[in-house]
Amino acid sequence: MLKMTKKEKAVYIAVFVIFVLYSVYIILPLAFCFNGSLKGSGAEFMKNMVSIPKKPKFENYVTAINTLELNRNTFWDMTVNSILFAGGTTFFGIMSSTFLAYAISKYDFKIKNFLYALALFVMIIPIYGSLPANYRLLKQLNFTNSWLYLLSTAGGFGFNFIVIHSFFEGVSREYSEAAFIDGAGHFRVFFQIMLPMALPSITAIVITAFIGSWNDYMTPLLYLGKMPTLSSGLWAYNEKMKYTANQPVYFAGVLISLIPIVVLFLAFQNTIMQKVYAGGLKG
Amino acid sequence: MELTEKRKKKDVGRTVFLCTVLSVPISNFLIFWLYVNFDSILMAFQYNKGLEVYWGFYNFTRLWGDITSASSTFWMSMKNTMIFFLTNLLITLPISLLLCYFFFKKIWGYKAYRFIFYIPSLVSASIYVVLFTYLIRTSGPLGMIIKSFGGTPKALLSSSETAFDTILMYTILTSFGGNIILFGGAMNHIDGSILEAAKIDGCQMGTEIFKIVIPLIWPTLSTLITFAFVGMFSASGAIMLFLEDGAEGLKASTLSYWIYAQVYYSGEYYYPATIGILLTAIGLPISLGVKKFLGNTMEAVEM
Repeated sequence: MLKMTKKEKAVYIAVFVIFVLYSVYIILPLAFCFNGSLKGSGAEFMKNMVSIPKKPKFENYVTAINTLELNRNTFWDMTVNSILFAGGTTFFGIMSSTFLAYAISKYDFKIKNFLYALALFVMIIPIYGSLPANYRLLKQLNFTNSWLYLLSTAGGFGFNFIVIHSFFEGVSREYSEAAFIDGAGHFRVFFQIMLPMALPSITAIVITAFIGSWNDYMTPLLYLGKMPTLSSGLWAYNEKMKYTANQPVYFAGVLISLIPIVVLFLAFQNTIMQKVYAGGLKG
Repeated sequence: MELTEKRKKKDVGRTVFLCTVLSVPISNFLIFWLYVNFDSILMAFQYNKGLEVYWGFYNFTRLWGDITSASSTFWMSMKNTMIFFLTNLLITLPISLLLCYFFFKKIWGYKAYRFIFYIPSLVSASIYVVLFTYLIRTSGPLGMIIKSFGGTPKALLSSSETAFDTILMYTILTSFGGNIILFGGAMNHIDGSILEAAKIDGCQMGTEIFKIVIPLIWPTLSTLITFAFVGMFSASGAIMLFLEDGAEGLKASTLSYWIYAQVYYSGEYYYPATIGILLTAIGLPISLGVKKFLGNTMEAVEM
């Protein structure tokens, strides 16, 4: 490791100070939320939002789980809805992309090049205003306010396809050829040999897709209004109870809702940071 | 004879496998992409009066009226959308790249910063925005600080003068997460010996960033720039969460929010589809031009 020049040291110190200030800006809302979640009541919170509670009320966390409710959906219902929505959209989306990517990269068939070109085309074409047509179609199919909605998310084309395709392109055909010689069928080769090899790369995409869906509020609000997720439900609850809400309990609910996603990210942080990058490198 | 039988069986197995795995993405594409977009074009030529649906150019006439009116929601939304698009391109992307450069150079505490800076992407905007709005209330922490200095706090989100700027500022300061992942991933694959060699040759920080790091991660950077142009008219902040249905009154609407709000709040399908056609017609040549200009880097995605 080479030594830094004085000028570089000065830059690093300045950047370090900016990073500290920015970190405070990022953490402040969460610290404010945690402090607020320990207050005795909504009135106490509104009286002074930043004072530290003399008697922290940790029971608010239990109360949040037991009492937070939106249109007869309990906190647990919203949690289950979040898991189903995020898990379902991720599963169907990645599964479809993986199927398509594997078929195109490892098999020769008539429309192979057409499908690859189509995937690039879909990614680069800016489509605006298809939301009304999509909403109308899903309504006609009775997919709104139903978990059948998840079927519509099995789109194989797009960014995930490109990433998974590049992975399969890099895997030698020798693995599958050897398995075929040993008598394995096409499904077996895919599920027992090729898919496990792709898992580390696919895991990174799965985690980022899951986090994105878990945090998505506009889609559940529009298509699954009667089945709120934590993301859409807690916001709708806050809007509905704007003037009567027990903020400490609401804040406690907010913090509980963050636990699964933070744990997931921390567990896979290194995989995500090392495996997800678009466009590759030059040279 | 036996060999031919075996080959036939193998071919059938191959065909069954391909049909099975391709049926999912292709049928989804045909229904939820091709049909939806075709229907979207048809919807642009439909309008309703009461419960009856009619065909014609009414939506286009209405859109023309909006375009030719300087004070229309269309222009206000277009202006705001362009501001979001340009801030993403000229502020968020370069800052994200710089942040990642210092993570890459292992600045003190870089692992903690990498996690902290990603928090806004980890926490749902629907939650983070609510917390932020409490912080900037006149009775909240920001108001208390201003009062302690003898000032009078303003309700930033209730005034048409400050609502949009507040949302914009919030959006810029919470948008680095996704880029950090992508730039960070690309920089992690740079061979450290290249930078060491450059350093020995007397390479300064600026030269290192602009002449070594950026050219090496150019495929990633150009992909993100292309994506920014592809989603140009979708650029927006969390308008709905900040203002709910008061965005137009507060002159803070964007095109994507305007389209979403018409479907979500008003159940209006036809006019938003017409707006979409116009935006696609403008956005398509721009996207293709940018992709051609920046090169075919997207095909070179690696993991």
